[in-house]
Amino acid sequence: MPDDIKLDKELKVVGHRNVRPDGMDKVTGRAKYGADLILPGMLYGRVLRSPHAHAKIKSIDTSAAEALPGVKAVVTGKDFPDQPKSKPPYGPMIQDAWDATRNIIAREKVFYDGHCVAAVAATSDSIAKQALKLIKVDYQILPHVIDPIEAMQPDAPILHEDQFTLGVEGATKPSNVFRIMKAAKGDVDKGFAEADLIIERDFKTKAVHQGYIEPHACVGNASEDGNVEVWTSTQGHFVSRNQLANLLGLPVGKIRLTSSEIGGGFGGKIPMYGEPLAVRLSQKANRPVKIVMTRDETFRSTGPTSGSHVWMKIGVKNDGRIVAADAKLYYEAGAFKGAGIAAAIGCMFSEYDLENIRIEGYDIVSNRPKVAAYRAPGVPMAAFAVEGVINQIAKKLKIDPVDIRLKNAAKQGTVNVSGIKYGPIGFIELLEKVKAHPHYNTKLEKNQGRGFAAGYWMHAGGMSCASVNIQDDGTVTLIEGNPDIGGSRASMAAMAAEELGIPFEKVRPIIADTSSLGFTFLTAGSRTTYATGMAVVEATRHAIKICCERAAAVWGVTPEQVKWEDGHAKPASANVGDFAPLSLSELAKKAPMMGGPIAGHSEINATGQGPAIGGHLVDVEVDPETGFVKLLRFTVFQDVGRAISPDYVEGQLQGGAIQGLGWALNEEYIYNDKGQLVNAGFLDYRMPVASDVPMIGTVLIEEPNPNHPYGVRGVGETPIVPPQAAVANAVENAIGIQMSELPMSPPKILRAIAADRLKAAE
Amino acid sequence: MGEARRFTGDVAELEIEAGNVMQLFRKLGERFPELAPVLEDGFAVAIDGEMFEDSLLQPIKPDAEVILVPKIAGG
Repeated sequence: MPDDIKLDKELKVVGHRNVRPDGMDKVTGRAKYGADLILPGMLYGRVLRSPHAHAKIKSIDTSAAEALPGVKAVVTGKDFPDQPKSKPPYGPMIQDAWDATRNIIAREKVFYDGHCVAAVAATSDSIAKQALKLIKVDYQILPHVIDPIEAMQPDAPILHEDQFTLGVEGATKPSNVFRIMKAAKGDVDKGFAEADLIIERDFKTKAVHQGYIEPHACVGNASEDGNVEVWTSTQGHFVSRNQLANLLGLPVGKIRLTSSEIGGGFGGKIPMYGEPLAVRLSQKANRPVKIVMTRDETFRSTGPTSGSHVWMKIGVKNDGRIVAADAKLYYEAGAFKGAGIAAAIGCMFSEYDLENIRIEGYDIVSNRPKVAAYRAPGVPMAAFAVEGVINQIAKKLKIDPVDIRLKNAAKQGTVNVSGIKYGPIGFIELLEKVKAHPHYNTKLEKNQGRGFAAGYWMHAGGMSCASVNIQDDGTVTLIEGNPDIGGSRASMAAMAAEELGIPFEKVRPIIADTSSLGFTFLTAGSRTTYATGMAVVEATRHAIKICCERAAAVWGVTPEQVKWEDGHAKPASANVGDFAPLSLSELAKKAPMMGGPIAGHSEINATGQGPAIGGHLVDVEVDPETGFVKLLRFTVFQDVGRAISPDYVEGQLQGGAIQGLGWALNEEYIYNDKGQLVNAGFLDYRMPVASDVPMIGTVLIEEPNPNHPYGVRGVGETPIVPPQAAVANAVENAIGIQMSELPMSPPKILRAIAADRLKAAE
Repeated sequence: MGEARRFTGDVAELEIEAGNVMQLFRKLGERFPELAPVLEDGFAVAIDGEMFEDSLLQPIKPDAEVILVPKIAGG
């Protein structure tokens, strides 16, 4: 795959602005999300959460809650089998089952404010809430630590007494540093020795939440015969099914997960929270149990991304060529290991063609919720530092900020720090388009500034399955296994319709439950249109092959003498004979009498995914009296490979940019001195709303990935990598001060302006 | 070998005869027993610069350069 790359021919469906098949149901409210399922006899689940950041659980008394009329089941950590610890170096998400079971429901200790301690199921939500108040937990409060640098200190409270730092030879004392990862390329010290200019800076970012509009919600339904049904809002029901089987000690084949519609995930709906609780409660009560989180619970107990400290040093020649790059990353993992340092290390310098790189990453636990992936997990914080220092270098050397990136841009043949060698990649074309864009050449006024930053994400491949069923009338049912977060149904249907040569509207995409299709990996890593798209194309071609065989039988020729074109089987050449083309509808109608139904299927493990590089251009105006940053213009440029559905590709680019703007300007977790989160709601945790942002312009650069039949790269994560640095660079351009700490909220900008004035006066 | 070096006594490069990733992992495991149990779950490979994850049957050509890369997930 692929043997027939459709890069140059005119496409009739792919690349067109098709209306998403799920659109009507979503705008009319008919679409069914996590909280929408109601089953006969269903109970309402509620979770008791820790008010302490760090405490030993001495005892839990649930007797009064169990005695309350209407309460049908109560669970604590003891109702779940304990799990062994995984062995290093761990999988990509560090799904250590020992950690996972303790994050879902505490056992020996609570590790953060909001940590689940017990759960109840009752005949009404109000009874369930009442029951929570009757559960008595005896805590021994322990000292806590939130900041990753403080958590590294020798006298810091230790979260896990059996955690010794990986990467430190002979470590004998337990530590909050789970591991130190290192990567290097070339000779960094030699590079710095040759540099004409070296700039070194520290950067800080705060933990931010993915902010999906739909809180976590699920229904668990266990039957007496051992079968389990789960309805849930998730980014990967097949992965969740397998994890659920492991955590509850159930056979995989006994569990069927159905993914509801999903109101955003961005990585935060990869981990499970309520599902194991709902299933265990259901097993105890013999009735279905629904658990829907509140917004407060979502903030306090589900994964934000890491807060970070980053030290960065870059050396350049006077012409702007980077000769050495050195970095140390200190990332919060939350209560359990697994900060995104591996991805940060692999991506942070990867849009540049650099000879000498050295990176060290620290994965540090502290008393806050375990981090979850958030769009290009781990990379935006590192990119904030890389792009901030490159901006400083350009300023010092008086080089245009786009030109300095052109000087160092990765191209085909560049090898990054992980050893990945690039195929065709559109960064140089992207930078040239930035320079030529009207936005880049718009005149700025007083107190206004312009910033640019770039970012890289590598994308995932992995396992995907798809089935294509040709119905009797020639309409098509397309079955795939990825929850549709950003318009993937439209892209899958477009590729199937393009292959079949039929209108887009004739294909109906369906997302199958875990018992109706083979394993399909997450909707994550920007992989769905790439990997599942390949499976869809392969399954469609399988169905087409059967159609051609049927036509060959009708005409008395060999299948090789038949071609598929514009929705019809046709003789491959004039020599085959003079046969009238047979349409898909005609072949489908005759299928019952000609060998049975026509269907194609595919089961693949996709490799060959191409990385994507983006560049964000931002204009801001800073009010020097209030510190308020007004966004004036924002344009996103990205090499998308090929945009199968341009509307939804542009939506991804705009959405990533806006989330990055919130991260840059407003969003942060704020804790009190007891380690309790004090802004667990959208009134106090300020995400951007429509009135905060200008129209985000998009420029799609299409440098096709040769490993995909339509050139797809994946698009969803790259757009959150550059905006933080782009906004900071714009603010610097406006006020002349580099902001090295996020969020750049008005008080911080005012303090920076005041400090700068004081310094100038001295 | 990067992240794998902690299991190899700091050996960073070596030559191994292997026709595919499964053979490579088996031979690496034989030479570095501590590495054996973590190879399949923890590492992808870059074969002559191209990434392959969970691809035990991926062929490796003679004289190919193979780099062990920690697996990474996205959001």
